[in-house]
Amino acid sequence: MGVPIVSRLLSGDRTTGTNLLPTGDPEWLRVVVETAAEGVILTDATGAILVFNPACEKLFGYTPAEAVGDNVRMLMPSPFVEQRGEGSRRGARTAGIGREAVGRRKDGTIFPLELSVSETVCGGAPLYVGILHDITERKRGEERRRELIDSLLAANVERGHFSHVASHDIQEHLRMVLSFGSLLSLEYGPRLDDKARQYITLSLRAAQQMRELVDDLVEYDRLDASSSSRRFDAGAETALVLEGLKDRIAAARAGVAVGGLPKLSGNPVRFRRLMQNLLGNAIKYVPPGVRPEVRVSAEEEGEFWRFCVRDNGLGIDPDHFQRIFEPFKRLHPRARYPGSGLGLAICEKIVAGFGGRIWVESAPGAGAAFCFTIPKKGRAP
Amino acid sequence: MKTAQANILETPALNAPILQPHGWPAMDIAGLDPPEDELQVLVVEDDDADAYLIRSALKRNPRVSQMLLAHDGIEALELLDAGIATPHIAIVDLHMPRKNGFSLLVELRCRPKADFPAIVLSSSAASADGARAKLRGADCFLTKPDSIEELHRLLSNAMANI
Repeated sequence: MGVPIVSRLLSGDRTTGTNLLPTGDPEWLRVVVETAAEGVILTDATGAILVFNPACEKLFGYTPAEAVGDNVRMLMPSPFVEQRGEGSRRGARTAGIGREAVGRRKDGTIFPLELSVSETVCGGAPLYVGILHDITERKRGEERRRELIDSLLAANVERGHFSHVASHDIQEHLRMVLSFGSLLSLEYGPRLDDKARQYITLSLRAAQQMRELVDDLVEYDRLDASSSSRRFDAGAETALVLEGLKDRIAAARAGVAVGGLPKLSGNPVRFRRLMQNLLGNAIKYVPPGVRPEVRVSAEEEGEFWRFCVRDNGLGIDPDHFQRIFEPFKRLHPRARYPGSGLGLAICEKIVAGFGGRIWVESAPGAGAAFCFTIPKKGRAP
Repeated sequence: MKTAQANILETPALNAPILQPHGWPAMDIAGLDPPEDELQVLVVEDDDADAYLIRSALKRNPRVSQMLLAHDGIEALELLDAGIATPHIAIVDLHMPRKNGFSLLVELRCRPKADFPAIVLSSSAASADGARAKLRGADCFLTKPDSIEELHRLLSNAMANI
């Protein structure tokens, strides 16, 4: 239907010599149009579709019978018709190669397409040939590439983020304050009176607290990044943590008992940090004069291991069970129990990173059990 | 060798003159023990404050009798090549302009005369930096601590063990 119209129109013009096709049998043209992988549409000046090839049927869902005679506007919500009209008025040829447009299928769905339009005159009337193809896949690829670039840029910005650049500088300045403060104390302390020595001590203590806070903030921030994962022995890692805590354990005369702990999948450095914070808290938060007793155990619970760190310390009011895992939420004055207020928030992030959860069971004056679960098989990627 | 001459610091015997970095307070050396070992230490450090701290720690070490300061790897090599510095030990910072610590360590290993041990003292705590430094011939890798007492202890231990 489409092609005979073409051959009729065009062959009709052969006599006037305005035929744009090579002379001879236009049968080859029919073959080209019918078998082209690209959509071919021919319209007249009003936008009425004269030719609608099989590739167009694949693109739009209309049969040529349905499409021919209708306006091309139905296929492209912002069609080339208007642009074409513009060009014609100006008398210029609206040849446009590789323009992007939106196509609308018979079922109403839309898709991105690329089209090239050329204009000619046939039998005194303008004729427009559009070659179209579906660029959905290309658009999807572009989207994916854009997302990848965005995430790479974001990661790059992350490098300039507080935790990577400014915090290093802050830590360096703090090191200078602490170093020269200690030098001042060492070289001039003996010549100063008690008040002056106290001023120095208080200044250095504040600088030391800043130091710990910045270090904890950097760590808390860094936990957002994904980390390497391997099989490790929770027992061996916990033993390392206890070795690192041995001075504090000795000073508090604490007793720490560790049960059999399983092998896990994940980041052992983060697991050590988790245990260090929990064990450190268990030793720290005891009433004055009480010897801390800490018990670490692990039990199977379905797909998970449930770890518990039990202590005989101050205990926690149930009202605060959720609060304590929030950053900077402290329950006690800093003067009595030092710390940045990030320890449990860091624990929560680490446990979440492992794919588990953490909670506390406690009552005031009755000690506390900090429990957390870790999947046996490691976190699903 | 104008640059080299201007940057020599010496911790001398008790009654010898002390050359100071410009603007820094005179270092009080009264009451310190005389040197036992007469070690000459070459310090390569671009930050004057850190250089002062290292000097404060070293002057408390009875084994050290002389300290020379270079502000980066280029100056260090100039002092060595001119024969001005003949150190028994070097303390090297990592991140310096013109030639950093990593690059200097490699250069030292290529100079047969520079066969003294090198202690890297860096503000970095990154184990990767430690590994890189050791691969380039550093004898140990230390992270700059927060107090002068700790710095003194770290350097004394490191120098005793080399």
